[in-house]
Amino acid sequence: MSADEPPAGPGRERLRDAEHVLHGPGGSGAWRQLLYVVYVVSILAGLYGFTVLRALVEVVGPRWAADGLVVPTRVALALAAVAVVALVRLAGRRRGPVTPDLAWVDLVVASPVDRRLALREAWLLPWTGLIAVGTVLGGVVGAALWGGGAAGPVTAVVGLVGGGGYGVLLALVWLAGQVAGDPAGDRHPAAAAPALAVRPGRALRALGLEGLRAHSARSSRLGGAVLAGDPRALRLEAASPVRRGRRWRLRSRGPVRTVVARDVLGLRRQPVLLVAGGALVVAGSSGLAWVLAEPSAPVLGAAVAVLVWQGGVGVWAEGLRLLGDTLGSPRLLGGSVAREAVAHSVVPGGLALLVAGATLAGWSAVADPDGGTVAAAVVAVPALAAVCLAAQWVAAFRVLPPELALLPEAGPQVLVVWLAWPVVLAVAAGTLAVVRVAGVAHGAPVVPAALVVVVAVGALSGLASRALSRAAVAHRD
Amino acid sequence: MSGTAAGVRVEVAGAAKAVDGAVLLRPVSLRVEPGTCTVLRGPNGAGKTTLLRLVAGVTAPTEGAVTLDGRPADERDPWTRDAVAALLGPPATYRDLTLADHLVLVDATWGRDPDTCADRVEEALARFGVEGLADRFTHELSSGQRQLFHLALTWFRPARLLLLDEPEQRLDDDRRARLADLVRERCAGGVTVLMACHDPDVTAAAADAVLEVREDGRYP
Repeated sequence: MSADEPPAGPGRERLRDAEHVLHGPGGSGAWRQLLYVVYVVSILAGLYGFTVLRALVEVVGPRWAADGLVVPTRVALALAAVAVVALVRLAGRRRGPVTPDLAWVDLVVASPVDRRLALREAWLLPWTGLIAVGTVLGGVVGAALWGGGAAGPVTAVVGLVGGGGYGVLLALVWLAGQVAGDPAGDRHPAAAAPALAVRPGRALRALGLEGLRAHSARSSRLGGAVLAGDPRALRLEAASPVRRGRRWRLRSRGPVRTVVARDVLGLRRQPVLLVAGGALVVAGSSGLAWVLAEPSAPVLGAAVAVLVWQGGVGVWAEGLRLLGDTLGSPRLLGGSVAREAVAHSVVPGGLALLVAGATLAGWSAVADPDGGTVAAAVVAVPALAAVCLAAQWVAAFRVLPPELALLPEAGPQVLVVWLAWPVVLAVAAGTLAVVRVAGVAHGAPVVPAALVVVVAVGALSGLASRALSRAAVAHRD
Repeated sequence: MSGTAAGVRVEVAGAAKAVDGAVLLRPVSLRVEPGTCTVLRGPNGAGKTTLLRLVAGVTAPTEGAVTLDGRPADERDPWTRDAVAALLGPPATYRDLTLADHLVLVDATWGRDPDTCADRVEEALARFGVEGLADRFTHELSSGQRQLFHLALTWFRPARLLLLDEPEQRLDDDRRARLADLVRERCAGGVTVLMACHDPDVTAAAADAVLEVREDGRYP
């Protein structure tokens, strides 16, 4: 927290009074909660993260080093770190780091007390939290590299410092996003937001009441949606309102083609989704090409490629999720739900095939792989598209979380598993299919691999169809 | 929509609903003839919305029966879905579609002529006085405008039975009077209408019959 201006004494006293009135002599307990979160993260990272990572470094590290995979891995991690920074900046516009309670916003922030003082604690909490968690995670990664024999002891120190520094960067970028998206921000153009965020005191003063109320309310609703296992509410709260292309009209082209055109129009109005999905599928397809071409490529590489693919297809599958949202309420649209679901699958499926096909064709032109590898790619892409689409169906048409998710003892874990279930399915089935197809490219027999691919795709498709059937009738108790 | 439709006969025979011991609706009986409008009245919590949900077939009675033209009301049955248009709360709308786009989508999925779709959409929006909002996204509407749009959406799909839960909510006096006219117009076209309503003027103008839903379940 930079001291741009000396804090006013009476302001501090008023804040202490307000804090006492709202929370009593014990205070809000927010710092204790933060300490607990850091404690839990430290325990989990130390016990499981360090152990698993060190074992991974020990087992696969020498092989990766021999295969020349260390540099590409570093590049991929650096790109991921940059992507996270960009995402955090975007997230700040919808849910920034400074989200005090609504009562605090209405009763204290709205008062004449210096806004920097009134928002100080609300900013220091996420700032401290990110630095602490970044330091712990960076330290664990550095220690694991050292413990696994991949680097010297300095790496542990570099990890600690780097992790903490990355935490600081994320916190400032997050705040910059909030400042840039603030409705009162006309006085501070968006371009000035990063500069403002480096001086948090000025940034806090730049935040308007309306924006703070919106972020605070949204924060509560997001938390409620997570606890209730309500992906729809979570999505609607996290997504920015659409304002682009209002003059572009949807044209009637018959029952199925109009639904497909709806999804195309949705992507035109939200081009960031089109681009983000494309970037992910290109990245996933590049990983797929590498797995198919390199006999030494690890299974983990295939799993990451499928995970990234699934993310890209998911970004394009908004129509499927919107259909899932309408199930259970009286129908407005004609025709069967199954027909509508199939129509909503055309855009994500078609785009996935198109973008992945183009990526692999480009790779094929540059790398000149043998015929077997090209044939493997021709099989792997549609198989992966089918797997990812089926997983999107499972995600879009899931009904309420299990009752266990409401129990305080097991609730969070059950919710995490329930939310992650479609992704786990996609990664498991997709990785199995890709690894088997890659095996054929490197000389493995065709028939067993084909059987595995058919069973994986078929099983997931069956689950997807069942999810739709269940969701269509789940509301009728 | 213009034209006539063979309205559905609604029969509710001692239907009641309870969930985990909580009584949402005490046994009630009701008969609504095709092409007529029946208004449900009663205090908050009496079970008007639950009764409408039973008739829409989105939930099943725990005792008694609800039939539409002699068939059990069940939303899973395509026949019920084809027959019933219902506004029982805000419908799930698409955040990336404008008001006009929503109506185009509804129009297309019911297999209507694409060449005349734009005219129908314009007419449907004008019917509720929201034609000037055709290019707005749903998050850009006031609460009253949103209610008018939801009514326009519900009106737009073909139906033989129209179920409305307090459709007069958030509407000004002129729009309430217009709503009553539109209900009468729909009944004149043969559609059966069953709605819950707290507004005495709308009730007087629209209803052929009024049923007081009672919390104690004692009916004369």
